[in-house]
Amino acid sequence: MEGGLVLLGGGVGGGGGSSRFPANESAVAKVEVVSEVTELELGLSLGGPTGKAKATPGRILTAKDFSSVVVPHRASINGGYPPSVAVSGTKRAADDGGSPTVISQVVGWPPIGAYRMNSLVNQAKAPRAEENKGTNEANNPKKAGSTLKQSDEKSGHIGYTKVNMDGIGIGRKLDLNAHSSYESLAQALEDMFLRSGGAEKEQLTMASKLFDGSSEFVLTYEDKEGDWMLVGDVPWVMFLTSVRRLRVMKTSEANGLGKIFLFDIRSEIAREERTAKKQADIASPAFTIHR
Amino acid sequence: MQKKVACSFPDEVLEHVFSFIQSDKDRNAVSMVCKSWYEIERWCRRKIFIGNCYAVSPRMVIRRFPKVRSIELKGKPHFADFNLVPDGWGGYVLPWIAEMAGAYPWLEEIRLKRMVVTDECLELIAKSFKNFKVLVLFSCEGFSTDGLAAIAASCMNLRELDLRDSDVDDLGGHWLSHFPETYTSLVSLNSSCLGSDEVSLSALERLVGRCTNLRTLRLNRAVPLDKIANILGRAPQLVDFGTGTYGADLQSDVFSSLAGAFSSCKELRSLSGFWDVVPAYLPAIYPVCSRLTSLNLSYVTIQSPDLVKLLRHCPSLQRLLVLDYIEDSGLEALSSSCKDLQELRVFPSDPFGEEPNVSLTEQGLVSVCLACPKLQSVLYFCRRMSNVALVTIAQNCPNLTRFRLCIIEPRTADFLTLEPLDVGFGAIVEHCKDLRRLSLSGLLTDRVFEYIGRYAKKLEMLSVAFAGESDLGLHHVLSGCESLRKLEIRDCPFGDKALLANAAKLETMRSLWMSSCAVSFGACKLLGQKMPRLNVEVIDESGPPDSRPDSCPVDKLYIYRSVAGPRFDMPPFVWTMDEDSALQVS
Repeated sequence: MEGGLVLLGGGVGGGGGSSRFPANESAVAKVEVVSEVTELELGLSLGGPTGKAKATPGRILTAKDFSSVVVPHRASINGGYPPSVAVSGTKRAADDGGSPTVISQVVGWPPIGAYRMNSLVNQAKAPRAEENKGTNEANNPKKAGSTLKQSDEKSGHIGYTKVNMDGIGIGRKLDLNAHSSYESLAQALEDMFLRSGGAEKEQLTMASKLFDGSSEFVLTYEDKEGDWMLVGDVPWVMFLTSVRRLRVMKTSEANGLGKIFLFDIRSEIAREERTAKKQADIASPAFTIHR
Repeated sequence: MQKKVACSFPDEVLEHVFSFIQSDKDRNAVSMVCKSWYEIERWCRRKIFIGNCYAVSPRMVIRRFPKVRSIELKGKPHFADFNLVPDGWGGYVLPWIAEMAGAYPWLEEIRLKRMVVTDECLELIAKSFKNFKVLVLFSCEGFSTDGLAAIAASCMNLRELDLRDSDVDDLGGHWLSHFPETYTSLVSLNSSCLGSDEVSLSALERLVGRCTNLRTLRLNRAVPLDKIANILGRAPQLVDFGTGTYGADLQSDVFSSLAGAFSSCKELRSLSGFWDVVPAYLPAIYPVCSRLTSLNLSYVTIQSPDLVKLLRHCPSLQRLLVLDYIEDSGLEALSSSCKDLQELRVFPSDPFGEEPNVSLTEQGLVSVCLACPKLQSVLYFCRRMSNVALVTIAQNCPNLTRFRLCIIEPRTADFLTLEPLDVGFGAIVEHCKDLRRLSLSGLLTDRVFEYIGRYAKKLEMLSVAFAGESDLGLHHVLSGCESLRKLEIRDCPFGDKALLANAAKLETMRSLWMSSCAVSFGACKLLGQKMPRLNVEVIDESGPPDSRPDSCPVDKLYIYRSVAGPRFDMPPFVWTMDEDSALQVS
């Protein structure tokens, strides 16, 4: 069973490596994973197909079809030996405006307590802080406001976001800072809820329904105004600054949010900053938008 | 002969003598003298500390100590603070509360750290313990203000309610109004972690007003600056005060009533809070600064000159928490103003930035260490370090008991010589003979562990990340550190050999955490099989470890001694290696 969270399928964010889209095939993206990340490349570049798994025709594009080669959130890739890439390598990422720094991709490092991290986030977002920026500008030039600046300019989110899935009792937490795109998020959620070892059969079935696009579930988030929104509507960076928590919601309950649960890839690509060309090639009649 | 002597005192006399013995270590020693002392002691032990809630079962505790009045429990491993322990791992306090509800009707104090507490637990506490006095929930989670309302409503003798750093589902400030109007016993309230924008100010003010014994009050962010004066006015006897938001448009009348309120607090020794600070309001606290011994400015995002201005007013300061906006220059100023400094914590304002946003280096720490001879406890985040600086620190602060250094970029070498920082940390452990806690960072080889094993004889807790070269490093620590209780390691190339060679050592420790290291599943099984009094737990979110070859490294490993056997509340991603595991075909 192949599955991936049905989300924005717009492609890889500031991840390393390259994703190639075949010019002629529809609804298929093939990804080439570059094992040595020497430079972070932006977005999509198009070219011929390579050896990766091919989505079956007509199947909805899912997170699995994109591989975010940004360093995974676990520091140990090769058996715990010093993760050569994760940390000491790519410090100078391409300035793509959406890629988190390398340090932030190592879970739990630097060792700042979760409580303090959350306070840092809240401090950055607090309306008062923004108001005071005006009165304090003389005293608090960019240095003092840098936490705020950091959150706006960089990954926009420090700390961990709670994720709950309907039907699964135990909530989880996710470091959004470790992801640069919706696909990466989708993959992480898939890993989290699908693959938590010893998952009950029931859990698997539930999850597969989510991830194969039969649309019993949608991914939603609570924004800073307390409203529940569908994930994928806004550019990733904007999402990061407004998301408070995530919920994998049963579609039946998501009615108030509108019936859109598949996203128009074309419009998403147009919105995201990309250096790749031929975005129109990705568009495909196999994608449907249910309204 | 000795038996005769022991029995010549009536039990009551011995019990009276034992009542003067408060420390757990001494109590444990007393209980091992002879059987009758064991019996007498267990009936009169009133206070229990359990450093790992899974090391023993509630029933065993109750069976041995039937008359406990105060209990302290710790749950999750320390690295849970950094989100290395997945949600749902465990640390549930409900089974404890449930058992104690029946067995200890006179329980007065519950202190929990890193445990999962539900509203059901809080309601049970409120219902079961008629003389309940102290509830401390340190870095706990799982409950809401509804649970707190239950405590407030029922616990007429409550003295202390401390929620520090807990993750509380804050449904608004109305829980405060559940304290009855007749309730006046509050001595300490720390609700600073509550995150809702709503707070019931009138209930808070009335509560503060009628609890004349209130000594500690730490407000949450929702309490606005202009309400502080009112609150302080009702509690001039406060010793420890935490503000809420400390920012607003400057208004002279607000400022003067604030300053007036602070000046009437003659007993005030500790200040904290200060979210969203507006520097213009800081001088309002100047009247109390000369007496302050503890100041937590770690949420204060103001520049160094403003910080220094404030610190110059605090000559009695013993404890300072601050952001790295203070910079080297500010720390230098601190070192000349605050000669009594004992504890310093400097937190990063921009931990994920690629470039330093402030001018804070190893120099700041060095200048404090050179000038403050009483310095004992250091937590310091910075971006560069040198061996020479560390040696200077070690030589000038031999009284250090806690030294935690975090160089933000892992594996950063000595910036002057580009060498590892082995020698520097070696100096720390060599000179600071009473060092109990150490956290390492920077580029480190096996050599640093050799030094640690050789010199750090009083070391109880060691945190290691991105360090070492081989199993020898781990072996040095396990074989050399006699007092070691807690060892936590992440992203180090330590594997099976050192662990298996020092298996017996693990039974003398509280716990060992290893994540992203090179310990194989096979070794875990072997350890579980050979050491029945150790719980060897493998945490792996990617699937059952036995679906892979035994030689595969485990993702996370948590080993702790226990007399309760393997636990039964494990989530799907935790596997315990017990006696049978090694026999299972993988």
